[in-house]
Amino acid sequence: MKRRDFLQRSMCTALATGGLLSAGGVLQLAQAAALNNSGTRGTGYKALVCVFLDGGNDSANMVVPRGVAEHNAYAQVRGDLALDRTGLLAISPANNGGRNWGLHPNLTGIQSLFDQNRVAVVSNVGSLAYPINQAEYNNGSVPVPINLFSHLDQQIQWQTSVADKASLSGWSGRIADLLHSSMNSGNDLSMNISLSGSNQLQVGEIINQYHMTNQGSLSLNDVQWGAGTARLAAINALLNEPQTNLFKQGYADIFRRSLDLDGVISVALDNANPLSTTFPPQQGRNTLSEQLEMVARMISVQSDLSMNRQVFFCRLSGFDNHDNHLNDHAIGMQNVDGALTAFQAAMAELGVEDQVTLFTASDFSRTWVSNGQGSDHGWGASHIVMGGAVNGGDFYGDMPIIEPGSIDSVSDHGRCIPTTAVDEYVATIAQWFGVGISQIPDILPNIGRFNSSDLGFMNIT
Amino acid sequence: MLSRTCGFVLVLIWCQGVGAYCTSDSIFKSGVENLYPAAPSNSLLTDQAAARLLYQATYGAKLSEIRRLQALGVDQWITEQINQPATLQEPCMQAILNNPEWPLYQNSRMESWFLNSAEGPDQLRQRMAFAWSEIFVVSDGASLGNEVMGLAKYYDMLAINAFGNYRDLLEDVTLNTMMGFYLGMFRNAKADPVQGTQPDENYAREVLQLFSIGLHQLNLDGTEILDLDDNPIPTYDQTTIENFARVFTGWNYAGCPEWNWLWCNPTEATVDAYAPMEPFENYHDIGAKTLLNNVQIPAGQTAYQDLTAALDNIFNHTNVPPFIAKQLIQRFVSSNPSPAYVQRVAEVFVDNGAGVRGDLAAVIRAILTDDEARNPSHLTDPAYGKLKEPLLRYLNLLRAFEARSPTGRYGNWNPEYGYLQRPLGAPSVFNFFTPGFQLPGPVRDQGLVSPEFQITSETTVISVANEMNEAINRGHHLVTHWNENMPRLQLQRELLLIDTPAALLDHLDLLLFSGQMSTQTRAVGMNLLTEINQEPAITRLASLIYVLVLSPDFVVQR
Repeated sequence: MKRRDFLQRSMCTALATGGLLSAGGVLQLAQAAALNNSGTRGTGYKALVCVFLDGGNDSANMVVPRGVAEHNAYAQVRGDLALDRTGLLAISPANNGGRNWGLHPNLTGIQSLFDQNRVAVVSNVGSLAYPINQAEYNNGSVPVPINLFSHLDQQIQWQTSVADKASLSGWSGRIADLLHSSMNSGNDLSMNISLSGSNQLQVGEIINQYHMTNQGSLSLNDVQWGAGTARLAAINALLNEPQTNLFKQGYADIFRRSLDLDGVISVALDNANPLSTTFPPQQGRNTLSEQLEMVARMISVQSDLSMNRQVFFCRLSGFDNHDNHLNDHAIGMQNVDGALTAFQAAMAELGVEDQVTLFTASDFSRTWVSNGQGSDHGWGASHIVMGGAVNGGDFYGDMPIIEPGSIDSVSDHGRCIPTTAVDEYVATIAQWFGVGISQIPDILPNIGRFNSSDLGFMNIT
Repeated sequence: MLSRTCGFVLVLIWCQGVGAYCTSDSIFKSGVENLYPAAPSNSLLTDQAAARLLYQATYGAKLSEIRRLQALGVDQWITEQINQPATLQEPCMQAILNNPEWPLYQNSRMESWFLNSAEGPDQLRQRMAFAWSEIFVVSDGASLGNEVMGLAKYYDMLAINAFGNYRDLLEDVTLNTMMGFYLGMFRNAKADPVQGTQPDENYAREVLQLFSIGLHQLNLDGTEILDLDDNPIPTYDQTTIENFARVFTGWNYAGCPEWNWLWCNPTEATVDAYAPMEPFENYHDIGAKTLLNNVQIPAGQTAYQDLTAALDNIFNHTNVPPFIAKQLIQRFVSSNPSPAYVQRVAEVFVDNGAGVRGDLAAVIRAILTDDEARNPSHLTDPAYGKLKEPLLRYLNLLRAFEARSPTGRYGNWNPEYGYLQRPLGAPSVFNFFTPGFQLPGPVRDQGLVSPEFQITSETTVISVANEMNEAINRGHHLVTHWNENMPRLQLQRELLLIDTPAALLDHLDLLLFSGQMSTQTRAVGMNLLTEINQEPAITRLASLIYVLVLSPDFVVQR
């Protein structure tokens, strides 16, 4: 599709759906955002990288109380899931809540990036319909997120930042609706790129996500010569045929876009200077390390692709540890540490440390209480934000107190009640990325229910 | 630029053994089917109508099956299919186990799945088993990676129960050790106040959310019941989950003298690792419990009494008929069945006409014989039909062109690489795609769903196309494929038609498109044959088939 047609169709979609943003509003917001961003640093390029820890990361074993008394209370609650105190990696945030803290033993790289102020921890974040405490949860006086504790629903709520009703778009999709057309002017490549398949985060009302693999875009085999060129021409003819059936048209659109963009992206990546940073090999297919390496390579060719704002979605599975928890979670932490550390080194190599921010997200944290050798679905969780523009080396928000009968938990299973909403976490990131404060409610319709749209962990300039 | 070809050349050595592996009988057949066996003179079904049903109900149309269906008529053909005994994976796995030179890997299970799916005479049952495997999900992607026999027998269990009663199926799934491992009911113990542990909630949550009733209260027609504020009404809350988690405590391998792994593991002589799990009452929570709809079960019951009460409670919930009916319709006929269609099938689930609830043979018959499945007038609805799953598209090819390998085996070990699907190998309990996935754009904006589009993207359309290229342009009977275990399309029959393009396209229209090939697609095909008329006949033919199976007309089943 040519760009003009694309925009035209986009505007029609916006008009037809009457969705979140009115058609006129999209343009105004986009223009306002463009003005907002005229003063950004460096080339003006900025990228966000979402690392989704699929299944619900047990953040109570990622950031752990390290003082003797607090650790004893933690160990009493967690039972066989407790990490040994002596193995924890010490960190010293200023905002420590009067307690000593440590990281999971496998987060050595993250520890050192935390010490270098490149990593911040945002505490006890979760999907919330409204702020809520234990008493309000127990007496049902404050609405909770729909289908609370269900994987799919909590994943979607993290990615839509709308916890109290179904949302057809994700928050990064809405940011793309706002910023893409003014920021990314070169081609039809979406602002939103997924390295790990379909996700709700990058679904916009107008701008949708583009998918690639950790090896780049994919090309059709055996269409370069002989009968192959005729086959490719025939495929193009089939895809260009307008369809009345919605599924036929949907398939043709995706195939069409794939063929068109593969040319552009393959050339750019083939011509790019290789990165000298090495990403560690990790076990499995489409590892986080491989995904982040491709993100780094894509960032290295952003100017060739005329991209000024990009959001990349990566995903690491293996966090739904109902069983064999300590072992599986340790593997997950090691993979996160290796991939994130290499990624940060690659950003330094490319000289874009201040322009790229990586953040983690996950369905929920897990129950503090063990079910034997595993743990079940929890709620509030700590998350990592990494990059040169991060006000690192500190904690933001309140850490829950892990102890028997804790008032931070909804039940005796240890499901931690979030004290910071996903909306607040996202608002802080979105403002750094270039969304003006006045546009935040368009991206995050429920932000007004919560305390803050700037938690302070980003250097918003 | 990435060219993707299959990458499992290195590990072929072990499968060169002689004798019975998981091999097809068809290698002993000579030649292929007659081009057009005569249609029965008294059939009420056109060739196209018969092919259309076969695309919905089997892994793809073959000329012989079109004739069989025409001879029997729809009802009798369904009866015949329902009565076909299950083609099982276990014998093949056992044969490999019996040969010391053949290690048993998941590769063998894949081969067996392809063999049974492509050639099993119980086509409808195999499709039903596949549908159940996408609802009652277990996966070799995680901790079950080494469980080859267990997963083969799990799939066999789905095939055997495919047309039985849903209540029996639900119990067999619940007590299967593979499901026990996958969702944590295996060795799930009651709360231990000393250790500070609680029962595992995983199975309790997913059996309700995914296997039976779903999250929201439904009308019989599958639409959500709304409260006064137009919000959906939850079917359960966290307290319900915690109660069901307590129900599902106390289960372990069959034949164990003790609860602990030391005495209760597959190496123990008395243990049957594949038999339904058995209870250890000491590890079962005997407290009173509150189930769905506030049904109480009293304290002091045995593990099996509690389980029976809980599964009965689920089975009798009003959500089950529409929840299961709609998902099965999505797997066989269309992504967005009308509420009336869902209701007609759900009513049969409620009562098969003889007062029996949950009769799955009656349910599948209702799905396939419904006006919305059979009457071609629905084809004009722009939202009708469904995107075919990538694996189905490949199986369609294998069946249409009688594919077989020189060894009779199906060497497709890693279908997930190109096709994004691996039987009993989904990324999570949420399957390869979820029933409610909405493709952004008109599908979403009209409130419709498109499950298979969740694995359809800029990358996967290409990876599937490249697999098709491998299977067709590089995989027909006249080329020597590097992997002698890969099935080759037998195109002898079609080669006879290569110099009469109109007749060839008529033939392919029936065999691949149930007569639904559009005039535009046909024109593209005709034009392609003209463009490459200097190429060898087999190149022209393979190129044509390749292009046709990438067409929107082929990938959408209507």
